[in-house]
Amino acid sequence: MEAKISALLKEINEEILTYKGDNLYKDGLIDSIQVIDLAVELGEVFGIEITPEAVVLENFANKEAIIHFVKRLLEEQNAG
Amino acid sequence: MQTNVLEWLVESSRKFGNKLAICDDRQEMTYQQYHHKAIGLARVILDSGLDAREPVVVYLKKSVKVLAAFMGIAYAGDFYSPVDIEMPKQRINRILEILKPKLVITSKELKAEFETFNYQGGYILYEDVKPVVEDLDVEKRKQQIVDTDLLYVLFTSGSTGIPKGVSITHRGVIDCMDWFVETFGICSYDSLGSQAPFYFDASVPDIFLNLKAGSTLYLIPQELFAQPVRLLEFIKQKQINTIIWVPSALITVSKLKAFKSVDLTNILKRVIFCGEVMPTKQLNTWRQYLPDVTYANLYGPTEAIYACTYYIIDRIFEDYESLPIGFPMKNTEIMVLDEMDKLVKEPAKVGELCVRGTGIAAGYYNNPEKTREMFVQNPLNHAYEEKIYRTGDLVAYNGYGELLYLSRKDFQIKHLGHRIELGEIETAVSSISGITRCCCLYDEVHGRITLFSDMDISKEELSLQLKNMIPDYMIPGKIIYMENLPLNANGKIDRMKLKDYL
Repeated sequence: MEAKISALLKEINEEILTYKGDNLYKDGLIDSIQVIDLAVELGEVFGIEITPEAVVLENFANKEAIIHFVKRLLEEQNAG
Repeated sequence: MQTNVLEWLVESSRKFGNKLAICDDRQEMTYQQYHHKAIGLARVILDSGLDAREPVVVYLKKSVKVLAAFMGIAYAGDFYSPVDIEMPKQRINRILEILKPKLVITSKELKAEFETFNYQGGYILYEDVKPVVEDLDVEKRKQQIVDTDLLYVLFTSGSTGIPKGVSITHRGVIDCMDWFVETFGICSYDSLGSQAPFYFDASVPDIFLNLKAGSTLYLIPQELFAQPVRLLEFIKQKQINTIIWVPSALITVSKLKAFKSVDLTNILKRVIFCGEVMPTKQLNTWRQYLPDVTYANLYGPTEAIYACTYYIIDRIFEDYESLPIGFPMKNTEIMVLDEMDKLVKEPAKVGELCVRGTGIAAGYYNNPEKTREMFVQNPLNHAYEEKIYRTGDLVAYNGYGELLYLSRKDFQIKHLGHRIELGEIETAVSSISGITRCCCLYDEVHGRITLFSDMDISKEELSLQLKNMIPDYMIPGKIIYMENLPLNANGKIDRMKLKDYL
């Protein structure tokens, strides 16, 4: 799963993979359309439902946050 | 008789003095405060010894302060030019070279940064300026403004790497806003939500429509545009009923159908977009959830203030159909000229869109060559001098007599709402050592700039090299390495052949 996410992030901007901060958007590594497109892609690739409410910058803060976000949704889905 | 845009500020301050005029996430100002701060700034400008009709740079983060600074500069009879604080140093220096400003308005925090640029003029620190209720010298400066004086200069990308300063008069803005208010019936009960940066012409109606109508303008925090539900909640909470945005900002909402979470029925009244092509599919999502809103597609280059044509969406469009750019604004003529400069009147025949009227720019600041090239004598008028603006955009009429936008005549593109000349990127890339030939194309399908280069360079390395030369949004999103770029018969890079590699 992490490799798949890394591949998606690499498509947007390779710098995301090594980014150490906690706000990819504010630091200009990803733009608003890319955040939205990434949410749509994550939903499709992992077969999870990403609600518009979940598209908040906390969930897209950096690579680790994105992985954690997808993991959580996968777990919730399996539990449900 | 109106001779300058400040009369709107004076009038709104008189009629709605205690009403909220402008508001950001840190500060808000009533019309009276807005007015008094502007006079205070003008006083300090006069005290600096600056004459009327001089450029003043504004170097501040997007905030209500910027708007007060704009009005203060106008009050002093001068014109403003906003410089984006994120803009690369090289570009800022080029802008300063063209403007040769003697004064900049900035903050304590940003002054040190500005001191690293090629600038020897004076500084006004916004924080030091006190509001002033009345000032006779300032009032006199205002009264001396004639409507052909400049109000602002906005910089757009130029093909040789030299930015072009589009010079706009009071007259042009008055004309455009009069049309806006009349067409959309905007009044003091309305609330606007600003999305576009102030160095971008898409923000012009936000600023001046608000001033004229006596409405309230909320500067929407930028980070909300990546968080659709929070964005809609903000609109709901502030009761914003009119938004004038670039299509990409509207798309962030419709792609995830955020309307399902926040219902804006009976809140949002008008959605107006301009600056790039709005995908019909996305508009249809908006219409599906908010059918009673007035949607309008506007078209116009910075050189025509904000817009010169408009289309109020009044029928159903299939996802694959493109939206017309519609009809000319009042007091503006659109001339579609073919290659022989003959007027095109019949449907489906392609021509270049040219603008005639009071709403065109006074030319490019300090650049007579470029001005002569784009602002030309009306080829259909042989009797007296009359300038029209050649947009370089190709259009055609459809069966309804509406204008349809087709493409750029040259290689200028729109990316994330910014107007970019691919040549400017090529110029910057060519400056990297080891690269001899390169070519940039816009990949419409992926919405990214693709660079063809004769040196194998990584994306990080490229970004690093370009960082100080061009803005981030101009940095190519994909690089294709080719030892030998294909050439055409003239020995120029064959762009048509390269398109096959996209």
